[in-house]
Amino acid sequence: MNEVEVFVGNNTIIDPEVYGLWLRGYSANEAASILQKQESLQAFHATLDDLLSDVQDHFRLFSGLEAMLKSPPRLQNQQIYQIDHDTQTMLIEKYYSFDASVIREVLGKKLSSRSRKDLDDISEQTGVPLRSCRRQFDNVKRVFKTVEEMKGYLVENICTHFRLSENLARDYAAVVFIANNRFETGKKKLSYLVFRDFALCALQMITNWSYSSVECKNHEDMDVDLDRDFLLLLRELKVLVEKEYLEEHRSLVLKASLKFSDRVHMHLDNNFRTFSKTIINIANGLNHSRESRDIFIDLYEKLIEPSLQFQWSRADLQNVLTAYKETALQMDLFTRISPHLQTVWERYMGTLVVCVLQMYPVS
Amino acid sequence: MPGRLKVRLLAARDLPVMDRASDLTDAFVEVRFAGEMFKTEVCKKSLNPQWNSEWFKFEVDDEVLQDEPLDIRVLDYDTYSAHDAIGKVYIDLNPLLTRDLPYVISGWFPIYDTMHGIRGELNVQVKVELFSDFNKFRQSSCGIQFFCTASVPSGYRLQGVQGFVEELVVNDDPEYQWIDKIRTPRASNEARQRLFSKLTGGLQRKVGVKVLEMGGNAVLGYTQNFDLEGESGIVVRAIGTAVTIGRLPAIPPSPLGQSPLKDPGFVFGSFEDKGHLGGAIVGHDRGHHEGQGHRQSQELEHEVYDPDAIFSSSSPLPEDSVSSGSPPLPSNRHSVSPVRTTGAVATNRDRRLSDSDVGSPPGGNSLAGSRSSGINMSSAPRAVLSRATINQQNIALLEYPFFTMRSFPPGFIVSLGSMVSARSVKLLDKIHNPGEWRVHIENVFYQIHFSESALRNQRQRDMWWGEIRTEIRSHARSMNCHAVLGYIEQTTICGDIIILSASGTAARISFDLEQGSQGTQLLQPTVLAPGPTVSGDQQHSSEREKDKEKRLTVDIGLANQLAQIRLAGNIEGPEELADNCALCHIPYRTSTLPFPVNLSPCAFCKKKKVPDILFTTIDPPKEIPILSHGSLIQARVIRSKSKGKGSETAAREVSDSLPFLEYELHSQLLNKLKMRGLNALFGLKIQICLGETMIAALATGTGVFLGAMPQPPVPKLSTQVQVATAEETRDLAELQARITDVVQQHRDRLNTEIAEETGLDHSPHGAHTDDSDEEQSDLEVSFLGKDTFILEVDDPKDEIISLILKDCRPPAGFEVCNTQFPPGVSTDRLLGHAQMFTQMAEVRYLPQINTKVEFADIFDMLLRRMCFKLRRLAPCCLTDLNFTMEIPDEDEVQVAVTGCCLSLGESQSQNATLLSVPSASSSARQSPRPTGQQDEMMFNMEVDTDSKEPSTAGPQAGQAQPPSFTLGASPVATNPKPHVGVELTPLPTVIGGKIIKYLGNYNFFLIRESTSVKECGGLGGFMQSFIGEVMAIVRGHVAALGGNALVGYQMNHCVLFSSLHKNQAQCLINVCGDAVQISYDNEPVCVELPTVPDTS
Repeated sequence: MNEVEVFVGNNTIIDPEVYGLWLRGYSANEAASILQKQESLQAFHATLDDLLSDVQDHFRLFSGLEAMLKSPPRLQNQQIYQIDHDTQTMLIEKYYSFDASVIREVLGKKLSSRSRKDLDDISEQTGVPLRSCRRQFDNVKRVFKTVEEMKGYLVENICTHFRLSENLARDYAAVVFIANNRFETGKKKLSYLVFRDFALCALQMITNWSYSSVECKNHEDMDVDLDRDFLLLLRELKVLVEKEYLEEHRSLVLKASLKFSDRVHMHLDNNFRTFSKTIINIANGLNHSRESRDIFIDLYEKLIEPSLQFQWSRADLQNVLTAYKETALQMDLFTRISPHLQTVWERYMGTLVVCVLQMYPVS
Repeated sequence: MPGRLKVRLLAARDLPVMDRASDLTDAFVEVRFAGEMFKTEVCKKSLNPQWNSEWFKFEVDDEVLQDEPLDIRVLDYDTYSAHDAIGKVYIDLNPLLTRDLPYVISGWFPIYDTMHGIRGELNVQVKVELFSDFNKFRQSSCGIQFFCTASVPSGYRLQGVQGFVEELVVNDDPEYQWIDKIRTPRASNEARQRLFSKLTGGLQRKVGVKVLEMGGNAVLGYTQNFDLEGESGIVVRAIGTAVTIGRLPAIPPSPLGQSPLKDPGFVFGSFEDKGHLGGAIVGHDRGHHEGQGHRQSQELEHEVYDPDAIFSSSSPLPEDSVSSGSPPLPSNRHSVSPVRTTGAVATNRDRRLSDSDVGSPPGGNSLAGSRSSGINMSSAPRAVLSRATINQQNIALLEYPFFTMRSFPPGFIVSLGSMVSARSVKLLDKIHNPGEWRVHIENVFYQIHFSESALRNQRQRDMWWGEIRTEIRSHARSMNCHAVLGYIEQTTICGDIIILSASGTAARISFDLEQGSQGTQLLQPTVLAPGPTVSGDQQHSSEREKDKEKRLTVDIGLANQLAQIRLAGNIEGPEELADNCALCHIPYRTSTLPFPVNLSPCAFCKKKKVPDILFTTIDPPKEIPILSHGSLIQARVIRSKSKGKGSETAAREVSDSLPFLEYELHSQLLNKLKMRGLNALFGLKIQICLGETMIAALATGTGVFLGAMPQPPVPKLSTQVQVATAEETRDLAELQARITDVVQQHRDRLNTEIAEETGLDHSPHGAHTDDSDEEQSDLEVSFLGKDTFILEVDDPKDEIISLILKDCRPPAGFEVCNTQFPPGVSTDRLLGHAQMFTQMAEVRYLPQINTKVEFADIFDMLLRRMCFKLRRLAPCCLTDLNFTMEIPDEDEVQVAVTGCCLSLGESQSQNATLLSVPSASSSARQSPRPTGQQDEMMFNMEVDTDSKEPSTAGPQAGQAQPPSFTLGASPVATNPKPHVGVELTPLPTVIGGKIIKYLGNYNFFLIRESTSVKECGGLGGFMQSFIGEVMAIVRGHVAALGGNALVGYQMNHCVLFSSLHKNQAQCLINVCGDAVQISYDNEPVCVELPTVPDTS
């Protein structure tokens, strides 16, 4: 019988629970029936309609706030809604929080309106309501568009422009980084990896490979891109697979691998050449955007898959990679001939080890 | 006193995107005032433009400064086509014109567009320099302070009362001009808003001039109303009470260290807060002009202060009133009075009083023009009184002894009569001379043009209101009362029929406080700590002794003083209680009752007579002995009305049905009150609303139990028809049982409340509670006895009965009332101001189809949802609920409610006393009827817990209840956060803070229209965002004045027109209040005045 029934307070008070349901993408009716199970209406002689009306008030408020949530600094300046600071922070943080499963699917997709249309698949797959998927997708896209062209530190930029907590900003930084470099994450072989795996890898790459890394001398370009000087230097690592150095390196690694199990030692003995070539090729490939996109695939197919075939444990792989990395530094090549490669090697291998280990399936 | 207005535009932020191509805006600003216009440069391609303009200067008369708002428009520059409007900011300059205030407004104002709502904010600085140029004949009234607050503002004291002021202006409504057909909705809305704003300013100035003439320096309880009469134009009416107020002198903070809110009703309570402000402000705000007037008036008072005069007109004791009840009046005024005063006397109580008008023979006074014979509300009487502060004697000489305040200083009210009201039905004439319309060109200084018809209309309206006021006055006189308190005027319009209503509370008042010993008396209450009551008491009585020779009212005055002391000291002593009943005593003589009323001896003093029921429109005076908590009581009545008749016939029909409507309303109120065992209604507000097909009436009040008056008897059913079948008999018995049950629950709760209120005392006052105990224990017997009130039913399934039975209590943790402060809840339980809310509902209702119960359901629904939506703030109390109803369409009823949610804590002082006794006594009281309790439980669980709640809430709840509430997400209730932003409150102050400074009153009339309702979330979304925007605009303006709260917030007008099939809606909202600066207890006082670097 009611055409309209609204309730507006001078102080905008947010019910976090209702906000959560709204973010989840429920309709007001759905949210009301969920809340009904949790709250006793009896004490207020209230009906389901009353609850629905309350939920609707909140939902209308949220959709009014949504425009401002899209540019959080505006929410903090605005005078239309009188909201205390803590609540503002909560509103923003929750609005930008996401389901890892959804973002995992969004990763690597082009943030275009076409992929937005595919969200119903993701919704079906993850069980997250479509509306929530859309919000998460839009958030990622918005953050991406905003910081894509910005100079300075990625995480910092996200923090200032979206007023997010640092942890959340890091996650977005990872997503933006992966999206910007268009790293392939959607291949079937990679489907066992969760968002957190990629986020960790991406953050490693941001810290060590991008323009914001400590070693980077030239901060002209954007944080979201890989450090071009570094990439050029990576090419020089090719020398490691030249015959003389390869042999030297091999013997050093094999010597170190004596500590490992015989099985691992034997595998290394037989395959060192392929192993080393793979790693150097991946480094080299980072110079070419087409190949760099496949970095996760490459890491998986060329390093992780063989290791799995050898039935190496994660520890085995860690030992091998560490030995590979450390022994190289002992070589003349690094100590005397071209010492500038030391840092490059460290930057490259350090990140690679962490990434590979993160990606290594826990069986 | 000409002045120079200087305006500077600094920047804007969050502007909307006006250029789709670039996603940016090329903004510039036009500033208009009094026909002059300045522009800023265009700030290209920015949504956050910075102009940092020079100071634009306007040199104008102060009269213009008062009338006109500063008109600022933000536009988007367009090289080829017309510039696009982004939005506007109107700034009322009046707050800058009052002395001793900062002469600067500076801040971020929301940019408002009537079609799009708020679109960004504009940073403006405004300064006014007034040149002292004393001109006797000036028409301006700078320096007069206006307060929407309906009581003496905190920090001030009342030095004199000049009396009622009113003014009205009539103007054409731009919405109904022919040009409206060819201009955009935006242009039309803006023309209207600008006009409203200008009329508001002009009206306020005119009222101010009257106040100056009368020698006052302020207006309290100032309200403006807009009557949108459609074709016949707009009428803006203002009423208020002209007074002389002065700052309270600064004294060192009292040992109690209480903020005014701890005892908010005490207008004087707050002066102690002024301690840190220093005494420099005392009497400072009165200009030389007013100062003279005041001195003169005081002399006058002394002259007339002879005992005889007081004897004849001011004695509050009815028995003593040997002289005529109505003091002599200039005879000419009697002769012009269009009202049959005698008719009123015969009718039944307040609502029937109004019948003297509407019930009179058709063709009499109900149709327009028929009585227009030369009544001129001349200024003659005013001239006589000018510059004279009214005192005890000449109150009777006032043309209209009306007071628009709702609460009064202690001792001001001597005795309360009853609510008085008057209504009249008039026809608006539609005659317009089309030749008179002028083409109104946008972007040109808007001229208010008084067409001849407008002037005629104005005279006519003045006359109509004159009639109504005269009637009110005569009603009051018939009760031997010389004053009307809590006076309001309302209208409802439908088509060309208008119903004018006025209501108030007849009372006898005393001005003692303002004269003679004012200083000490006023200061007394707050100096008193709970301990030294006796000394204060003695001081008072000795002081009073001196006055005794010349004043006959002394005993009552003394009683009031005692009452005051008792309340101030928060001591619940039986002796004081017994003395504190004078307010309830009837002011009229027992021999000539103004209406049928049952009198009984006062329960306290056993000497004077008291009525069985008291209805008033004011807030309960502090000194009145309230034993129960307040409880919201509402009567809702609807009657269908045939449509499509000729104007005159329709008007007659309306006028004929009004008495029935009022009768029904009254009996509903009475029955609901009695069901709850209460005997007095405060803050009663009745609104009649006229629609095409129905007339609705809504009465809202707060019921309490006054100890001095008898408790209402238990209701008993009676049928006039012979009960035919056994089935009917059974039904009847069942109904009776249900009623008994409900009554029992109410009485149980009431008794707990009474026990709580009276505290430890058993004996002298215990006699009273014993009575009610008896009454309960043999409830069955009492049905047969004389102590019954009879509910008449023709049919056991009668709607009326179900309406009464459905009337439910608010849920646990809630107190609901419409008085400013919850009666019966000790002020130290009020923790803080949690929320101010506006609720609005539109309901489809057809009187032919829907039942009366369904109409009542609308309001029950609103109340229920209100509590439900505020559930996280419980325990709390909802105060100052103000309902306004509109019937904009044939089948639509709209109700808007504003209110204030105060968080409640446990009473500290009472807990201690309650712990031992009342728990015992209440259990003792319940023990004789254990079976009854169980029965109830089976009957209705909810109500049972409800009725038990107060008893448990006493001692144990301290541990038991709060956890369940603090679990709620919002910590606001239990732990008030540091205050950010601007509070809005309908109350005269903000609980938890003290008012440092009044910065001026604001009145906003905003229009919002949309042609894309669906896209903005339907009507609900549209309304919700508009209400939010109105509050945001108010906050923006308050903040720019350097304030952090708006008190006395009122929404006078809220109406929504919609046609969903056109996806269109329009809404009009009018709000007002007083901007203030508040300092909160727990925070350091930071007086941050807007400062402007003077670059000029």
